[in-house]
Amino acid sequence: MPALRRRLRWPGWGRVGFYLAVLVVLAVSLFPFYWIVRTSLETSAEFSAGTTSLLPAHLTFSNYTQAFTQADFARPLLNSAIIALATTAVSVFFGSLAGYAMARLRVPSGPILTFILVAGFFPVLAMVGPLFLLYRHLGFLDSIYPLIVTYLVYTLPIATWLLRNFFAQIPPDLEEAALVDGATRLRALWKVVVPVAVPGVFTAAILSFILAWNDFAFALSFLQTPSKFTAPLAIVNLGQTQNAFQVMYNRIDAAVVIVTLPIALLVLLAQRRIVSGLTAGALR
Amino acid sequence: MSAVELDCVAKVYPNGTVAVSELSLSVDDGEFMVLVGPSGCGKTTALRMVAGLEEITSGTIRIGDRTVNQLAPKDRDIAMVFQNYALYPHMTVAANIGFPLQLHGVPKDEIARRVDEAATLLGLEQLVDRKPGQLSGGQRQRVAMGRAIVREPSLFLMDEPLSNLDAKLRVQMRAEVARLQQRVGVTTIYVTHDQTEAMTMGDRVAVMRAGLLEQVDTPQALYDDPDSLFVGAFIGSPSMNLYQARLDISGNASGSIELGGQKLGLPADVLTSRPGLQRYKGRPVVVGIRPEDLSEEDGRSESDGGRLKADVLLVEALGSESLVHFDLGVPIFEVEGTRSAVEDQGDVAPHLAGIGGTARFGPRTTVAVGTAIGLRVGTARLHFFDPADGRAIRD
Repeated sequence: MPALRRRLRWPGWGRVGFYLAVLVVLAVSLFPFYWIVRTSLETSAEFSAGTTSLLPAHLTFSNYTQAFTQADFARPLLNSAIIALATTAVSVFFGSLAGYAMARLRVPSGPILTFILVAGFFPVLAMVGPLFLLYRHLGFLDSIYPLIVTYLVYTLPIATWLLRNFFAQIPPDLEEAALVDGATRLRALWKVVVPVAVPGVFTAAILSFILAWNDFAFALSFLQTPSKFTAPLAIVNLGQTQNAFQVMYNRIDAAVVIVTLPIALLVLLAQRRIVSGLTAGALR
Repeated sequence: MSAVELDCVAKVYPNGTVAVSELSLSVDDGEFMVLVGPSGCGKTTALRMVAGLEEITSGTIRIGDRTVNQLAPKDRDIAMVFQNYALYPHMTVAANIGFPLQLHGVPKDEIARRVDEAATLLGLEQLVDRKPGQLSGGQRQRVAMGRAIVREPSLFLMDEPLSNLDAKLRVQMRAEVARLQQRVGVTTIYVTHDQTEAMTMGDRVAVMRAGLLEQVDTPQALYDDPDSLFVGAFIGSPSMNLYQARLDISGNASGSIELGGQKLGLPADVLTSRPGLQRYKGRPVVVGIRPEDLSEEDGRSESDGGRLKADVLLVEALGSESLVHFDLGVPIFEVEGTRSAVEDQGDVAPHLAGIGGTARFGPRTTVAVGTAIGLRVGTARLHFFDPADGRAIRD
């Protein structure tokens, strides 16, 4: 009975190998995060004493409270939130309009799409110099709002491209039904097309948010006053103390955890919405 | 409710394709008008032009007393049911049905009341909180109907609304849609490629081919008196038997047609009722015989009609009748565009299409496959067409 014998051989070496590989990948990618969290929960004394164990000796949240009480980490967090949310909103709004136009109107969208993709992947550091000169000319330096425009250079093409592909998959009948039911083109877009493309809208929003939230290079180049710093920029200063030779890595790591949390939560929450098959039932 | 008037309406796409040419059609107030034709005949384009989803190249469309050429779909006071229903997947059944009302600024409690009414009328009361994804095909179809009727528009447009249903449900919904239309009494333009649907549902039927309107009339008139070969071949199931024949007229009294090697006598009244036949004396014509105008030779009656001999290829006993497929020894006359349309409907076994002919016999027929039989032809109800332009020969 070959079938039975095969079942008895479970789990099979191929399967064991597969899960081992998964474990290795998980360990490699998660260990740094673990180490950040571990360090952020250590006191400075423990940190200076050196590491002897994988687990922290005892936990303290003082680094987290100090980030807010001594270093005013709330301000850069708020700045980052304003910038990232505004970038996301503008990207999704105009990305929807542009993506819809490219999905539906008879425009030769091929070359435009290629251009958009190329623009979206333009090296960040190559943009810093020219934009710095431009912003100095315009008086845009040391202000958080021009950063929104800067991030849009990257997020808007990506959002447009993503949404265009999602819209193109939505049957035109849906909007036509809305048009006949009494909607204008724009109203059909906001009431029917965008809600049906929710997985795409969420993906575009998250990518835009992450890009704006995580940026360091532009913020470092364009901002000077600490009260205008974004979170990633503020993290660097957070480790400094009166003693020029001591860097408080544990406090930095606490800030890193604080900055990472919103993104992790966002993705976890949105994961449920990014289920495909949302169009099921529209047709047939 | 309003009448609809299409006046020389044409649609030419930028690449030069003519989808609809010079379509003139008037639909009376409260009428159920069916546009029927094979795929690509322009019927859906015509419907979409009435809806305003497709721009009109030339001509005028009036709904009621308004010319709507320039009006956006939302301002035309119409409702449309799409082939694939186009339900909004993110909304519940109630929200789907209420959506047109919401767009027109109807107060919330009024919307709830009217959605309720429509749902009850369509038997959807239990399903109002479901999303389209949780419904069966027939239920989705009903929701699409509900969304159309809830606004009480002046015109219904339906684009093959039953084509995605299975055969049994299609027959049931056919009756339901027709009943619903009678009940609400709204002028309706209904597009289908299925001639059975056209015949059973329409007050009048407009047959289209290749962007042109072939004939508009009541279903019975189309069946009894087709204007063209195309209409003759397209309407009716099983379809009309068409053969090329030569017409001989001796003097003025009677004549005959030669079908392959056989002669079919034509009594004088066949010729007098179709004076146009005189012009085809000695020339080829296409003769059309409906399956029910062929009956079994019983050797007794010597009354009207001629006789033809044929070989039986297949007998399909349907219970209420038997369809006898036969071979006259003459190739059937092919009408461009109808063959595929007729085969689409699955009425003809594909291996038989193109060779024989079909006769409707009684259920108790003893005709056997492979034998030669005599067919009595109801000559008074023969159809004659010009083989060149396909027009019916009458006067």
